[in-house]
Amino acid sequence: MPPRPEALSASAIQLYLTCSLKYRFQHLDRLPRLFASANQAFGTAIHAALNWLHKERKQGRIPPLSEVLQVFEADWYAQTEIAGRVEVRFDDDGDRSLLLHKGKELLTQYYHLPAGAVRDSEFYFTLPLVNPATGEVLDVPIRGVIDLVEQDDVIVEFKAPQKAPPMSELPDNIQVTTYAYAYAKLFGKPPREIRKVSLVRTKNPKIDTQVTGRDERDFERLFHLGREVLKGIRGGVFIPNRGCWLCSDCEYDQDCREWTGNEEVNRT
Amino acid sequence: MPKNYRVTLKYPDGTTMFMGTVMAEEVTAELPAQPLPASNDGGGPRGGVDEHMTDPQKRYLFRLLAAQNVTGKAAEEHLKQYFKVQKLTDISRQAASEYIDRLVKDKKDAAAS
Repeated sequence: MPPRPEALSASAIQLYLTCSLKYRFQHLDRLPRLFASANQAFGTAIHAALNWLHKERKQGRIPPLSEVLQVFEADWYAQTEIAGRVEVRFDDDGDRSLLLHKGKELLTQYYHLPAGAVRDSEFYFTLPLVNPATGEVLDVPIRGVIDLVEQDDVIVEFKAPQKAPPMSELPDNIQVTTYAYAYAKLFGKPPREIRKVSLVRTKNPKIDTQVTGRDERDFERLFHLGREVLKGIRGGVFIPNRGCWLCSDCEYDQDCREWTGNEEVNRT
Repeated sequence: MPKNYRVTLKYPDGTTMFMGTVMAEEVTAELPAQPLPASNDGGGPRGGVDEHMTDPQKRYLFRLLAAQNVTGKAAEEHLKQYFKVQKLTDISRQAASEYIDRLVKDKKDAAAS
C-alpha cells in the first residue's frame, strides 16, 4: 500500500469519514470499478450538461435549451447504452427513461433561472492546505474542482440528489469549505457567496438552492480534519461502515464483504 | 531551497484548465522513470497500459456530436464509420483524442463565423 496519498480532496476526506474502507479501495488500492450506479451516471451527465452551458455562456454565447438537453442526453446515452469499462446498473428498467426525463426537466428549470456572469466552469485547483491560525502546512496538497465560479465572487456547487438536502448539513459541508478555501487562496479574498444548487429528482423535480459563507475558523477546522484523516490513512486505519448511506450502491460491496482486516503498518 | 510558483494552465480558447501553486526545487540525482498509477474511474484498467478510448473520451465525443445534432444511434454509427471499427471499444485512445481535437476546432470555428 502506498505510504501516503498524493493529495487530499473534499470528497476523499468525506469518504474517509463516512467509510474509510471504501476510501482505501478507491484511493489506495485503486480497485477497478466494474460498475457505476444509475445515481452516479445521472450526476455525471447533469454536470456535463451544466459545464457545457456555462462554458458557452463564458464565451458570450447563449446556447439554445435544446442544445443543452441534447448534450445531456448524449452523455447519458454514451454512459448507459454504449459498452465501456464501467457498466451502469439500474435497479429497474424503467429508471433509464425516467431519469432521462427528470434530467431534462431539471435542466430546463435551471436554464430559465437568472444567470450570473461566468468567470469559469469546472475550475481545477491544487493548493497547500494551511492552518490560518498557525501557518502550519499539511505535507500533502488539497485539490478539487469548483463547478462554477461567477464574476461577482460567487462560487456554485451542483448536486443531483434524489431528495432535497437538509439545511442542517450545510455549515459542516466539507466540499463547500474546501472550495471557499481554494477561492480565498487563489483570488485573495473569500467568496462573497457560496451556493449549493441541488437539482432534485423527486417525483416533481425541482431546483433547491442553499446559500452560505465560510470564514477563517472553517478553514482552520478543514486543516485539522485533513490532518487527522491523514493520520488515519498513514496509520492504516480502514474500517468498513456497513449500513451507511454509501452501501446501497457501493461498487466495492463484494470486496468489502471479503475484507478480513488491514495489514499492519510498518512504522520503522 | 524550494521556491513557490503560481501556475495557470489554459486551453487554447483561453479557458482556465488549472490554477494552483507549485513548489519546485532543483533535483540533481537522476530518478528512474516510474509508471503512472492507473485510474479506476473508467480512464483505464488497473496496473497496465491500455490504448483504447477511455470512457470520458467516449462521452465527450457523443456530446460534441450532439452539438452538431448527431445523436444516439446516429452518433454511434457515425463513429463506427469514421474510425472503421465494428465496436466503439476498438477505437484507440490516440485516434479518439485526435477526433476530439478536430470536433472542438470545428465548434470553435463555427462559433467564430
